[in-house]
Amino acid sequence: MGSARAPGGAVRFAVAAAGAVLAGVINGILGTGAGTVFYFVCLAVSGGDGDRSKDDLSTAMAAVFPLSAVSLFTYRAAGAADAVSFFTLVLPSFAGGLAGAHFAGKMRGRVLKSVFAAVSVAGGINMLLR
Amino acid sequence: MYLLSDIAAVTAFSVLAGSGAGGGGLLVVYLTVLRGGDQIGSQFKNLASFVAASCAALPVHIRSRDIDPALLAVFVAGGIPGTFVGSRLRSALSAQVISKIFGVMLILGGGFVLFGVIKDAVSRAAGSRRE
Repeated sequence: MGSARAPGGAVRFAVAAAGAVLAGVINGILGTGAGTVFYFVCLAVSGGDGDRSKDDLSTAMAAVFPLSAVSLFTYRAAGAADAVSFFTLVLPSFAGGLAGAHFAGKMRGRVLKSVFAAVSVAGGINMLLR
Repeated sequence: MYLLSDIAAVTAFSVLAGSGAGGGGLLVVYLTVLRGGDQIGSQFKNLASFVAASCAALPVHIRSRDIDPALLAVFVAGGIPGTFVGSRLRSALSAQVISKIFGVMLILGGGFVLFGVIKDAVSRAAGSRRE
Protein backbone atom coordinates (compact mmCIF):
# COMPACT_ATOMS: atom_id res chain seq x y z
CA MET A 1 0.00 0.00 0.00
CA GLY A 2 2.75 2.35 -0.92
CA SER A 3 0.76 4.97 -2.79
CA ALA A 4 0.71 8.54 -1.52
CA ARG A 5 -3.04 8.67 -2.19
CA ALA A 6 -3.80 5.57 -0.06
CA PRO A 7 -6.19 6.34 2.83
CA GLY A 8 -5.27 5.80 6.49
CA GLY A 9 -5.94 2.64 8.54
CA ALA A 10 -9.44 3.38 9.89
CA VAL A 11 -10.74 4.81 6.61
CA ARG A 12 -9.17 1.90 4.72
CA PHE A 13 -10.91 -0.58 7.01
CA ALA A 14 -14.28 1.20 6.75
CA VAL A 15 -14.11 1.38 2.94
CA ALA A 16 -13.05 -2.28 2.70
CA ALA A 17 -15.80 -3.45 5.09
CA ALA A 18 -18.55 -1.42 3.38
CA GLY A 19 -17.36 -2.61 -0.04
CA ALA A 20 -17.31 -6.21 1.17
CA VAL A 21 -20.94 -6.06 2.33
CA LEU A 22 -21.97 -4.44 -0.97
CA ALA A 23 -20.08 -7.10 -2.95
CA GLY A 24 -21.78 -9.85 -0.94
CA VAL A 25 -25.26 -8.38 -1.47
CA ILE A 26 -24.68 -8.06 -5.25
CA ASN A 27 -23.29 -11.60 -5.43
CA GLY A 28 -26.28 -12.91 -3.48
CA ILE A 29 -28.78 -11.21 -5.80
CA LEU A 30 -27.11 -11.60 -9.19
CA GLY A 31 -24.75 -14.55 -8.66
CA THR A 32 -21.93 -12.46 -10.17
CA GLY A 33 -20.26 -9.06 -9.81
CA ALA A 34 -18.55 -9.37 -6.42
CA GLY A 35 -15.07 -9.59 -7.95
CA THR A 36 -15.53 -6.28 -9.74
CA VAL A 37 -16.67 -4.54 -6.55
CA PHE A 38 -13.73 -6.05 -4.62
CA TYR A 39 -11.28 -4.91 -7.29
CA PHE A 40 -12.54 -1.31 -7.13
CA VAL A 41 -12.39 -1.42 -3.33
CA CYS A 42 -8.77 -2.65 -3.62
CA LEU A 43 -8.04 0.27 -5.95
CA ALA A 44 -9.68 2.70 -3.49
CA VAL A 45 -7.79 1.45 -0.43
CA SER A 46 -4.45 1.22 -2.24
CA GLY A 47 -4.89 4.70 -3.71
CA GLY A 48 -5.03 3.36 -7.28
CA ASP A 49 -1.40 2.22 -7.27
CA GLY A 50 -0.96 0.77 -10.78
CA ASP A 51 1.87 -1.58 -9.72
CA ARG A 52 -0.53 -3.53 -7.50
CA SER A 53 -2.97 -4.51 -10.27
CA LYS A 54 -2.05 -8.18 -10.15
CA ASP A 55 -2.25 -8.33 -6.34
CA ASP A 56 -5.58 -6.48 -6.36
CA LEU A 57 -7.10 -8.86 -8.92
CA SER A 58 -5.78 -11.94 -7.05
CA THR A 59 -7.09 -10.65 -3.71
CA ALA A 60 -10.47 -9.93 -5.32
CA MET A 61 -10.61 -13.44 -6.80
CA ALA A 62 -9.64 -15.05 -3.48
CA ALA A 63 -12.40 -13.09 -1.72
CA VAL A 64 -15.05 -14.08 -4.28
CA PHE A 65 -14.33 -17.78 -3.79
CA PRO A 66 -16.01 -18.19 -0.35
CA LEU A 67 -18.82 -15.82 -1.36
CA SER A 68 -19.54 -17.85 -4.48
CA ALA A 69 -19.46 -21.07 -2.45
CA VAL A 70 -22.05 -19.56 -0.06
CA SER A 71 -24.15 -18.31 -3.01
CA LEU A 72 -24.00 -21.77 -4.54
CA PHE A 73 -25.38 -23.17 -1.30
CA THR A 74 -28.23 -20.61 -1.19
CA TYR A 75 -29.15 -21.37 -4.85
CA ARG A 76 -29.30 -25.07 -4.01
CA ALA A 77 -31.33 -24.37 -0.88
CA ALA A 78 -33.78 -22.31 -2.97
CA GLY A 79 -34.17 -25.24 -5.37
CA ALA A 80 -32.68 -23.27 -8.25
CA ALA A 81 -29.89 -25.70 -8.95
CA ASP A 82 -29.68 -27.78 -12.09
CA ALA A 83 -27.55 -30.86 -12.21
CA VAL A 84 -23.95 -29.80 -12.78
CA SER A 85 -22.02 -31.97 -15.19
CA PHE A 86 -18.58 -32.97 -14.01
CA PHE A 87 -17.21 -33.39 -17.56
CA THR A 88 -18.70 -30.32 -19.25
CA LEU A 89 -18.58 -27.86 -16.35
CA VAL A 90 -16.43 -28.81 -13.35
CA LEU A 91 -13.45 -30.34 -15.14
CA PRO A 92 -13.07 -27.63 -17.85
CA SER A 93 -13.53 -24.93 -15.18
CA PHE A 94 -10.80 -26.47 -13.05
CA ALA A 95 -8.43 -26.76 -16.03
CA GLY A 96 -9.24 -23.21 -17.22
CA GLY A 97 -8.77 -21.77 -13.73
CA LEU A 98 -5.38 -23.42 -13.39
CA ALA A 99 -4.29 -22.18 -16.83
CA GLY A 100 -5.57 -18.66 -16.03
CA ALA A 101 -3.61 -18.50 -12.78
CA HIS A 102 -0.41 -19.50 -14.60
CA PHE A 103 -1.07 -16.95 -17.40
CA ALA A 104 -1.63 -14.25 -14.78
CA GLY A 105 1.82 -14.93 -13.34
CA LYS A 106 3.37 -14.30 -16.74
CA MET A 107 1.26 -11.31 -17.76
CA ARG A 108 2.07 -7.71 -16.94
CA GLY A 109 -0.23 -5.99 -14.42
CA ARG A 110 -1.28 -3.46 -17.05
CA VAL A 111 -2.34 -6.19 -19.51
CA LEU A 112 -4.32 -7.99 -16.84
CA LYS A 113 -5.93 -4.70 -15.82
CA SER A 114 -6.96 -4.06 -19.46
CA VAL A 115 -8.44 -7.56 -19.76
CA PHE A 116 -10.33 -7.00 -16.50
CA ALA A 117 -11.69 -3.66 -17.78
CA ALA A 118 -12.77 -5.18 -21.11
CA VAL A 119 -14.51 -8.08 -19.31
CA SER A 120 -16.23 -5.59 -16.97
CA VAL A 121 -17.56 -3.52 -19.87
CA ALA A 122 -18.71 -6.69 -21.68
CA GLY A 123 -20.37 -7.93 -18.47
CA GLY A 124 -22.05 -4.53 -18.02
CA ILE A 125 -23.44 -4.58 -21.56
CA ASN A 126 -24.69 -8.13 -20.91
CA MET A 127 -26.52 -6.96 -17.78
CA LEU A 128 -28.11 -4.03 -19.61
CA LEU A 129 -29.35 -6.34 -22.37
CA ARG A 130 -30.79 -8.97 -20.02
CA MET B 1 -21.62 -30.31 -31.16
CA TYR B 2 -23.03 -28.51 -28.12
CA LEU B 3 -20.81 -30.63 -25.90
CA LEU B 4 -17.66 -29.23 -27.52
CA SER B 5 -18.90 -25.62 -27.55
CA ASP B 6 -19.95 -25.94 -23.89
CA ILE B 7 -16.51 -27.23 -22.91
CA ALA B 8 -14.76 -24.51 -24.97
CA ALA B 9 -16.90 -21.70 -23.49
CA VAL B 10 -16.54 -22.92 -19.92
CA THR B 11 -12.76 -23.33 -20.32
CA ALA B 12 -12.32 -19.87 -21.90
CA PHE B 13 -14.32 -18.06 -19.20
CA SER B 14 -12.51 -20.06 -16.49
CA VAL B 15 -9.14 -18.92 -17.84
CA LEU B 16 -10.34 -15.33 -17.28
CA ALA B 17 -11.66 -16.23 -13.82
CA GLY B 18 -8.44 -18.00 -12.83
CA SER B 19 -6.29 -15.08 -14.00
CA GLY B 20 -8.22 -12.78 -11.65
CA ALA B 21 -9.78 -10.81 -14.52
CA GLY B 22 -13.19 -12.31 -13.65
CA GLY B 23 -15.81 -13.63 -15.99
CA GLY B 24 -18.25 -10.70 -15.94
CA GLY B 25 -21.06 -13.23 -15.96
CA LEU B 26 -20.23 -13.98 -19.60
CA LEU B 27 -20.90 -17.69 -19.05
CA VAL B 28 -24.45 -16.68 -18.09
CA VAL B 29 -24.79 -14.93 -21.49
CA TYR B 30 -23.55 -18.03 -23.30
CA LEU B 31 -25.90 -20.33 -21.37
CA THR B 32 -29.00 -18.12 -21.65
CA VAL B 33 -28.62 -16.56 -25.12
CA LEU B 34 -26.83 -19.28 -27.08
CA ARG B 35 -28.01 -22.39 -25.21
CA GLY B 36 -31.50 -21.20 -24.21
CA GLY B 37 -31.02 -21.90 -20.49
CA ASP B 38 -33.06 -20.18 -17.76
CA GLN B 39 -31.55 -17.21 -15.91
CA ILE B 40 -31.33 -18.65 -12.38
CA GLY B 41 -30.09 -22.08 -13.52
CA SER B 42 -27.44 -20.37 -15.64
CA GLN B 43 -26.37 -18.17 -12.71
CA PHE B 44 -26.01 -21.34 -10.65
CA LYS B 45 -23.80 -22.97 -13.30
CA ASN B 46 -21.75 -19.75 -13.57
CA LEU B 47 -21.15 -19.87 -9.81
CA ALA B 48 -20.28 -23.59 -9.89
CA SER B 49 -17.82 -22.93 -12.70
CA PHE B 50 -16.22 -20.02 -10.80
CA VAL B 51 -15.87 -22.10 -7.62
CA ALA B 52 -14.15 -24.92 -9.55
CA ALA B 53 -11.87 -22.45 -11.40
CA SER B 54 -10.85 -20.64 -8.23
CA CYS B 55 -10.22 -23.97 -6.43
CA ALA B 56 -7.55 -24.60 -9.07
CA ALA B 57 -6.25 -21.02 -9.28
CA LEU B 58 -6.06 -20.04 -5.61
CA PRO B 59 -3.08 -22.26 -4.63
CA VAL B 60 -1.10 -20.73 -7.54
CA HIS B 61 -1.92 -17.16 -6.44
CA ILE B 62 -1.15 -18.02 -2.80
CA ARG B 63 2.23 -19.48 -3.80
CA SER B 64 3.00 -16.32 -5.82
CA ARG B 65 2.15 -14.21 -2.72
CA ASP B 66 -0.22 -12.09 -4.82
CA ILE B 67 -2.91 -11.95 -2.14
CA ASP B 68 -3.22 -9.27 0.58
CA PRO B 69 -4.26 -11.37 3.64
CA ALA B 70 -5.52 -8.46 5.79
CA LEU B 71 -7.74 -7.12 3.02
CA LEU B 72 -8.92 -10.65 2.19
CA ALA B 73 -9.98 -11.20 5.84
CA VAL B 74 -12.08 -8.00 5.82
CA PHE B 75 -13.61 -8.90 2.44
CA VAL B 76 -14.62 -12.38 3.56
CA ALA B 77 -15.91 -11.22 6.97
CA GLY B 78 -18.09 -8.54 5.36
CA GLY B 79 -18.92 -10.38 2.16
CA ILE B 80 -20.41 -13.60 3.54
CA PRO B 81 -23.15 -11.91 5.62
CA GLY B 82 -23.78 -9.65 2.60
CA THR B 83 -24.27 -12.73 0.43
CA PHE B 84 -26.96 -14.06 2.78
CA VAL B 85 -28.69 -10.65 2.75
CA GLY B 86 -28.48 -10.60 -1.06
CA SER B 87 -29.92 -14.08 -1.41
CA ARG B 88 -32.86 -13.04 0.81
CA LEU B 89 -33.37 -9.92 -1.31
CA ARG B 90 -33.22 -11.99 -4.54
CA SER B 91 -36.91 -12.88 -4.32
CA ALA B 92 -38.06 -9.51 -2.95
CA LEU B 93 -36.29 -7.18 -5.40
CA SER B 94 -36.49 -7.00 -9.16
CA ALA B 95 -33.30 -8.72 -10.25
CA GLN B 96 -33.74 -7.10 -13.67
CA VAL B 97 -33.62 -3.56 -12.26
CA ILE B 98 -30.61 -4.39 -10.07
CA SER B 99 -28.93 -6.08 -13.01
CA LYS B 100 -29.36 -2.93 -15.14
CA ILE B 101 -28.07 -0.61 -12.40
CA PHE B 102 -25.07 -2.88 -11.85
CA GLY B 103 -24.56 -3.09 -15.63
CA VAL B 104 -24.19 0.69 -15.81
CA MET B 105 -21.77 0.55 -12.84
CA LEU B 106 -19.68 -2.12 -14.59
CA ILE B 107 -19.50 -0.14 -17.84
CA LEU B 108 -18.53 3.06 -16.00
CA GLY B 109 -15.99 1.23 -13.77
CA GLY B 110 -14.48 -0.77 -16.63
CA GLY B 111 -14.41 2.35 -18.79
CA PHE B 112 -12.65 4.26 -16.00
CA VAL B 113 -9.97 1.54 -15.69
CA LEU B 114 -9.53 1.37 -19.49
CA PHE B 115 -9.24 5.16 -19.64
CA GLY B 116 -6.51 5.00 -16.95
CA VAL B 117 -4.60 2.29 -18.84
CA ILE B 118 -4.79 4.23 -22.14
CA LYS B 119 -3.78 7.50 -20.40
CA ASP B 120 -0.76 5.73 -18.83
CA ALA B 121 0.24 4.22 -22.18
CA VAL B 122 0.00 7.61 -23.94
CA SER B 123 2.07 9.40 -21.27
CA ARG B 124 4.62 6.56 -21.31
CA ALA B 125 4.89 6.81 -25.12
CA ALA B 126 5.25 10.62 -24.92
CA GLY B 127 7.94 10.23 -22.23
CA SER B 128 9.97 7.75 -24.25
CA ARG B 129 9.71 9.98 -27.37
CA ARG B 130 11.07 12.95 -25.33
CA GLU B 131 14.03 10.80 -24.17
